[in-house]
Amino acid sequence: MKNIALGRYVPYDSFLHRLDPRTKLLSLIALMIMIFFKFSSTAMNFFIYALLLIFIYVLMRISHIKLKTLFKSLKAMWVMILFLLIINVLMPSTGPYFDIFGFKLYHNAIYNTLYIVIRLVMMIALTMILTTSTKPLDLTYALEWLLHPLKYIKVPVHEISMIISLALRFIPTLLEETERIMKAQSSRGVDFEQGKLKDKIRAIVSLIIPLFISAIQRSEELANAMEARGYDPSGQRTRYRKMQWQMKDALSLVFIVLLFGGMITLLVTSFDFFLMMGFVL
Amino acid sequence: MSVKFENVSFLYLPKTPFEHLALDGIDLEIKDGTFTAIIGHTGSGKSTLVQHINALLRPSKGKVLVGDYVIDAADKKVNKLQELRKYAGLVFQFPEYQLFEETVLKDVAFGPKNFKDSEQVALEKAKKALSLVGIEESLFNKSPFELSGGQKRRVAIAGIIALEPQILVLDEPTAGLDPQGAKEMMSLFKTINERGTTVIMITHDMDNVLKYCDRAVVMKDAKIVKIEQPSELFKDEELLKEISLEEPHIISFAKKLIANGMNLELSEIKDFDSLIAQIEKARSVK
Ligand SMILES: Nc1ncnc2c1ncn2[C@@H]1O[C@H](COP(=O)(O)OP(=O)(O)OP(=O)(O)O)[C@@H](O)[C@H]1O
Ligand SMILES: [Mg+2]
Repeated sequence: MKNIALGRYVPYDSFLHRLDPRTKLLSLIALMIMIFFKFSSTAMNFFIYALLLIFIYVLMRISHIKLKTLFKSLKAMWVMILFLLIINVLMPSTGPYFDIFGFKLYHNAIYNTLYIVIRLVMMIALTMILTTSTKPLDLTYALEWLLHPLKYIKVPVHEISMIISLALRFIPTLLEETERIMKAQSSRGVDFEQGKLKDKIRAIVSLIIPLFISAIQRSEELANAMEARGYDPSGQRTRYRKMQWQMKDALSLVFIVLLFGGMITLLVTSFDFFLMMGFVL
Repeated sequence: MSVKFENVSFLYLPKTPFEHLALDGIDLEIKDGTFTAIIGHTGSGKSTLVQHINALLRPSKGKVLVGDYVIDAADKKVNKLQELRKYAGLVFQFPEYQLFEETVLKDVAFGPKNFKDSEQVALEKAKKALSLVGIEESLFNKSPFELSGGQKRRVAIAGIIALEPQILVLDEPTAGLDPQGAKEMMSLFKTINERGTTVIMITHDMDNVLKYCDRAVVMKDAKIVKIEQPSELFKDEELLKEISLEEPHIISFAKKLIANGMNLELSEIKDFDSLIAQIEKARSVK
């Protein structure tokens, strides 16, 4: 249960916490796109990744996320990384290779695996930064703002963001509920940690059924409560707390735009200092 | 053989910004065969305390001894955890959320089966427990989700009673029950206690504490502030104010009678019957 607390909003008062959620959402999207850029040479790729990693690390420090927390959430990925490596190694490739007892281990295979791993790490870190520094509700406001233009092509933006914010709102409640039911069933002799497959299935069933029932009950109660207070999804609504652009948002966005622009320039010009310096990896 | 807390502290979510000290240096001994009430304000740590008794929570510091079982903060694992869970049965607050089987009978038999009873024995125990909590046989093959709130509660409690624990821990078992149902449940717990089971109960109902319990453990802000016989505890108005406890209705009533000149022995009053006995005694003296 404890690992799920990862990525949960943590109420510090950092620069990132004070940024407008819209700024953070836009920056996240921009950074996520940058992660997937592929430059003209391997050396260039790793160089840019290193820069991005340093930048992300700085952001993590600012938002009080410990490296340990990040690594903990990566722990579950080892299997996937291994799998990726195997797939990549088995794929026929070209270029230089190590010869291991007649088996050709291409450099490219290793690089490709590394790219994927680095991208995954960066994606997880960025998401973690966003969710630990932004209240879920603020995040949905930002999302609603971002999707706003879609209203004109009849996308039910408000409904979508209401669904998302309700879902986010109930995640902690469901986790609490899960823990409670697990404790109650443990008291009845269920062992959630070990046991044969058959016992494991029984244990899960004894958890899932009460969880579903209470979730369904809860949603029904919520729907009734909303209806009783006259909720109308198509109604015009105002907001108690208005989001306000500030200087720091403008500066942050300018920075991100410059970064993005710089990357694009490097990309389209196939610029490569390593090649210029005669260095080839 | 008893329940013993030795300098137990417990932290929720340690090393996070949400860290919260829910138990702070608890020392407590609960003797076998007693009926103990745990009382105190909401958030004072009562539920946290009782969840240590069957090792659902492990102490951050200190040691809990339950019968022959030891739950030590220093140990990584609790020895014979399953046996301990059978030895000390815990009924959660609003236990009806734990129901999940197809039928009432199966749900109650779920616990004993987990503790390696055969199907046959488990069903026997389930039937016994259900009849103890007052569920009629006609309901045995119904889905637990078709029952009323009060019936669900009884079935859930039966689910723990069927384990035949030596120690029965109850977290606000009567909260939200109708008065009649609450009374029936309380006298059931008393019966179980009289058969030799140690009963430990969290409650906000001071009248029940006075009527049924031999001892009251008062918690405040993660600490135990008082361990006392209920009749003594509720006599001391100063203390009650200090630890912000409500006195039982029956005591307020008796105090009014005393203030109006009736000569009653407050420490003898536990419930209606003893109050009436006291009133009769006072009148006959006159
Ligand atoms: N899972 C949890 N995570 C973090 N903090 C918790 C958790 N459970 C309880 N707490 C905190 O620990 C403190 C004690 O909680 P506990 O549930 O033991 O109180 P209680 O005395 O049983 O209250 P009540 O009478 O309302 O049931 C409370 O301040 C509560 O906020
Ligand atoms: Mg409680």
